[in-house]
Amino acid sequence: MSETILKIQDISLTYEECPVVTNLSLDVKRGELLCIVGESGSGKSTLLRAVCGDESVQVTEGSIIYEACDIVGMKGAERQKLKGTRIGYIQQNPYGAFNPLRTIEAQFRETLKSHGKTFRRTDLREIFGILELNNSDEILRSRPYELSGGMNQRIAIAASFILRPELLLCDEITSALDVTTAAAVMEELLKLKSENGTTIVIVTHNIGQASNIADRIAIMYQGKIVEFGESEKVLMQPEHEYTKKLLRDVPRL
Amino acid sequence: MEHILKGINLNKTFGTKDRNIQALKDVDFYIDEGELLGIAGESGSGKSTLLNVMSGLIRPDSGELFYREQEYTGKGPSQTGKFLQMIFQDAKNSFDPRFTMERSLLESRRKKTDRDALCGILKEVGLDEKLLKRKASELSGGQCQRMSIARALYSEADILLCDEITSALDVSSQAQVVGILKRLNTERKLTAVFVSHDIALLSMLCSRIMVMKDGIEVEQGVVEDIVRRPKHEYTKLLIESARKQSL
Repeated sequence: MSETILKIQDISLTYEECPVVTNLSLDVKRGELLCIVGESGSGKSTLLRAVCGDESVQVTEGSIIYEACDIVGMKGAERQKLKGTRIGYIQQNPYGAFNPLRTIEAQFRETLKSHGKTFRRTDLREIFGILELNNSDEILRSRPYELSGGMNQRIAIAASFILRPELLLCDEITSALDVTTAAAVMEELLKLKSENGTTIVIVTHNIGQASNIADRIAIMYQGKIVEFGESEKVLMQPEHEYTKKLLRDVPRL
Repeated sequence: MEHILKGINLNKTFGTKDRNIQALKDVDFYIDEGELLGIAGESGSGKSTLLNVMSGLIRPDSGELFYREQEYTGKGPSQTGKFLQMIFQDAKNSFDPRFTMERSLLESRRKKTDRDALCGILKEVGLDEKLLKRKASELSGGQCQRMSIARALYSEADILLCDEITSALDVSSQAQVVGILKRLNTERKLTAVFVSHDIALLSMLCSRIMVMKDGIEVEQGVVEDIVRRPKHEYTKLLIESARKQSL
């Protein structure tokens, strides 16, 4: 197994016909936690969507190599196989992740079944407990619209965790959560990384959050990566003006 | 010293079909002139309810409110608008989408139109006068939020009540808004209340912080004490969690 799990080469992306990312290259090492930091419109979410094969994002140039295999030209069914157990994806808006009309239990059962796994209440309770979803039986009976945004987000995270993906992509997953819950979720990600060796890529606007968990940090600005390196190096000796500005602007305690 | 705004024993309960939620339980607060007060709390803590009660948008079930020793409990926004103005998280939707900024801003003032004052205020919040010709949809989130600050200042209210006003903004726009408010506080003794879930942000902006949880005031004090020497377990948890999310 090579050290690099994901290699993005000279990629250009358009979203709804607008060029968002141009000529971007990035590699993700096996078992690392990489944070991509940028502000609105920097193209960080589009990049993540391209990796998980979202059809609203077009790859106009370049390649995305996952485990030595270019996934850009992959056919639908083949690509689908990667989703969930190989590449997990948690998006910013949790309501989009679930069918609004079905109970949470039905959706968990279906998710697990479609990936050839069995639904076990004890497994689920454990993951729910970690995410501070305490009343698991009541939650399983509920439908997404009966739960708060923060709860839905934690359930979406649980749905990804339970499949134990090799590579987990997280798009601003804590921005709708309270700060105490956000801290707990981040700790869980770190545990997932150390215990299962999961490779994690987190997209965030909060460089403060990145500073506490990332092994490496990539700073994105206007569709390009302007700085990329070991977390400590980027935070302590930033080279690009934009990185310096981000570090200056973030509130400190 | 008299407090510019004060509330005593405020209670508010919201009822739903299945249960009642007590959003405020015997809450007291005060603000002095020229002070920046922060109210920190998570979802459901009652912080926004408290702000809405202060502004007269929500009538408390019990308790009293005072502006410069004058009671104003039960008065609605048409009365309270003379001395306080609210600024909301969603700045875009706080403007009439059909109006130009000029029309929205001029309309907010009860006194005679004063163009010089308006231009001066726009300069203070770092906006070009040309932007007055635009509608809310033609401005960025940060520009819109600065417009709503300009509108509140132009209405000549004594106190600004700000509900999560930077949480929809990028860190750089947030830093800009925070910088403007701090400068207004030093230069023209701006009095304001900030409600936010982000205690790190409040610690940079405010002089005093009140921490709320489940409708109760957990702890309040000067920033230094709250951040360095929190007394209550919940404040400690909040600070510790916020540290993990900041530099």
